[in-house]
Amino acid sequence: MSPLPSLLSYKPFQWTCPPPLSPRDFGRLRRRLVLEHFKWDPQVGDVETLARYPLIVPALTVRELFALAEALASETVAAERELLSRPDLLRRLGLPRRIRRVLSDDSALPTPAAARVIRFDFHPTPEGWRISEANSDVPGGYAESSHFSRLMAEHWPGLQPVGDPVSALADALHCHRPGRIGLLAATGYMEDQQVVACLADAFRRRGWNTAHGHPGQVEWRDGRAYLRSAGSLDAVVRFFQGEWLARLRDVARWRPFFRGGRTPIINPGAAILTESKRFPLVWDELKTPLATWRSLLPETRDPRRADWRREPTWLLKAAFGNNGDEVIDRQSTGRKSWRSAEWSARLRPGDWAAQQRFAILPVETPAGPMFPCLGVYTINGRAAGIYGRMAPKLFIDYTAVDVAVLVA
Amino acid sequence: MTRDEMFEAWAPSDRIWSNWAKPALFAQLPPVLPPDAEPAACDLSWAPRPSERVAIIVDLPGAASVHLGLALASLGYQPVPLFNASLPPGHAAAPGPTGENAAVVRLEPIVAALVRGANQLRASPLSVDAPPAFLIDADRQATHRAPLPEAFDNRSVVFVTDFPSAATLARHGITRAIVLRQQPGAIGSDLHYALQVWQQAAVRLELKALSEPGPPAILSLPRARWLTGLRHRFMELFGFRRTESGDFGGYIPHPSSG
Repeated sequence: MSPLPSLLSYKPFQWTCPPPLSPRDFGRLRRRLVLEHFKWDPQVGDVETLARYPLIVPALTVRELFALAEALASETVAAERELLSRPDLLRRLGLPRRIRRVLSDDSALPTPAAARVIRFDFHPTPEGWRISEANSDVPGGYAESSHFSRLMAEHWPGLQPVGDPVSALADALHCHRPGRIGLLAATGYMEDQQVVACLADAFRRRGWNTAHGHPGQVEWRDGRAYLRSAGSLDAVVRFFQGEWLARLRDVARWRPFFRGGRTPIINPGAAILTESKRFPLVWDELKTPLATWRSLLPETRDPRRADWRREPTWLLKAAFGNNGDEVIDRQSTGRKSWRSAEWSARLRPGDWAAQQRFAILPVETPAGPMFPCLGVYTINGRAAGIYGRMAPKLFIDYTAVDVAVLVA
Repeated sequence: MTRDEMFEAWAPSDRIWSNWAKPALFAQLPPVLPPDAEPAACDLSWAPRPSERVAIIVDLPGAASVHLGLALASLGYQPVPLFNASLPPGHAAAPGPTGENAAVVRLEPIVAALVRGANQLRASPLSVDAPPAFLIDADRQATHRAPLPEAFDNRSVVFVTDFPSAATLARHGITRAIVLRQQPGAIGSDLHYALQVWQQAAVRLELKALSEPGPPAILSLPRARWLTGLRHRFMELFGFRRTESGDFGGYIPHPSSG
């Protein structure tokens, strides 16, 4: 199977960012977003995290991104299915041992998906599109990609938001009769609470009763999820990373997120398999064709097979963990943090991956050149929208700003 | 008053420090609130005049933080609510027999004080360059009581990134900050670290305990423990905000689950 072409039909210099909204208009938009649409962290330190201007991309660019994302999603789901039958490969993914054990136990069926959502983060490069990662387990950015884009589009007649992942996700459950849906997250953290509040609102509008809790509060009765505060659940949204589940003491409370659960979940625990930054290290062992992945992801190696300590073209990525979706780069990471990561990667190389860095083409914006990251959601294999972020430096971290991606 | 008008009162769009105001409690405004308690009388003779360009961090429990912020507003400070916590979903419902629907931290009194305070703020607008009084809940980690089983864990922490940087403060002529607390004693480790970052950037810190007479005293924070510092450096660097188990404080286990 040959990959879809990953060349850019339009270079980023052909994308446009119009002048920013007036302070008055932006102030109103910001207030609506924070009060009505669940964006509760619009300021991080000195960084205003919402761009005051949209990013306008050609329709053809959106079509090619959507096609690539759908191809990636198809390969990803097929790879997950195959990996579930290959326990010999799970260790190489850097999975916590307790999760490996549960996923390897084929006496119980994998827990079904209520819907399968993945976000692939695309970057324009001189060689064409590249992805930095797949947010396969618990992607966020819903309010920004859906509500922020829609509110911004109101100010730009003739332009449209690129999809609506919140609505698409809530609609994806149309095959289930609305009942009670549990939204599970780390309860103390507002950046997670705002995501589940956003999704709960969308489900309620479609007739679902919503219940909130922490994953550790779920009881499983004959494979059915149950919250004492709400009763039995007909579906679950898990906004809690898979590797953290295994830190719950009682295995009976978390095993059914992976295997043996009968309540469908967005996303089931098996999504952790392709969330691993070491996923590319098992590609050659899989029968699943991964042509699109191979064409878009930079070369990735086990840290023991790359000279990342001397060669600045390599980045370090943790397979999982709190900063697992971040990069450790000798040039831009502080000395102490680099040393810490360096020791960790030398002592526990199986928890890390080395990946070739790539150059990103900047976009001209009213704030100067910015490096874009276009996160394309797929829901049940269909592209559903784009979460746009831009940063003044090559890496997307907390200093990045959310930008509404619009199309003519 | 709509929640939009209420938020505008607390975070006027043309004021310097409004962007730092946390919107979560305003966005979750409950339909029913307890009456706001009458503010306790307090002596503010120690407070610098706004022209002296001092930032104040009001670290008092619950609604008292809001009440003090309003008192400082009457002196010319801009109160900036930094309550970054969540009301329990379905917060109007009464707690059940096992504590379901109850929250670990009671936020309703804070919201009630914010609602009443909005009227005061609308009636007496602040000057554009009013120095900030950041309002946080000293009870945010509820360390003095055991949470009920099945309770909604809405404990929270403050981060360096909840505040403007020392450089931003300095751009507005502020190089001195006073931490206002009820009693003298150790500051919470989360606030300690945030203030230490300011201290390292040459912000002069002072502490004023309301229980003690007299002016604020110099506050010199010792270096955080190595591990704490490393963890916070990672947090600051990467913007992640979690403990090892993925959340703050952890799940409150039901007794039957051991």
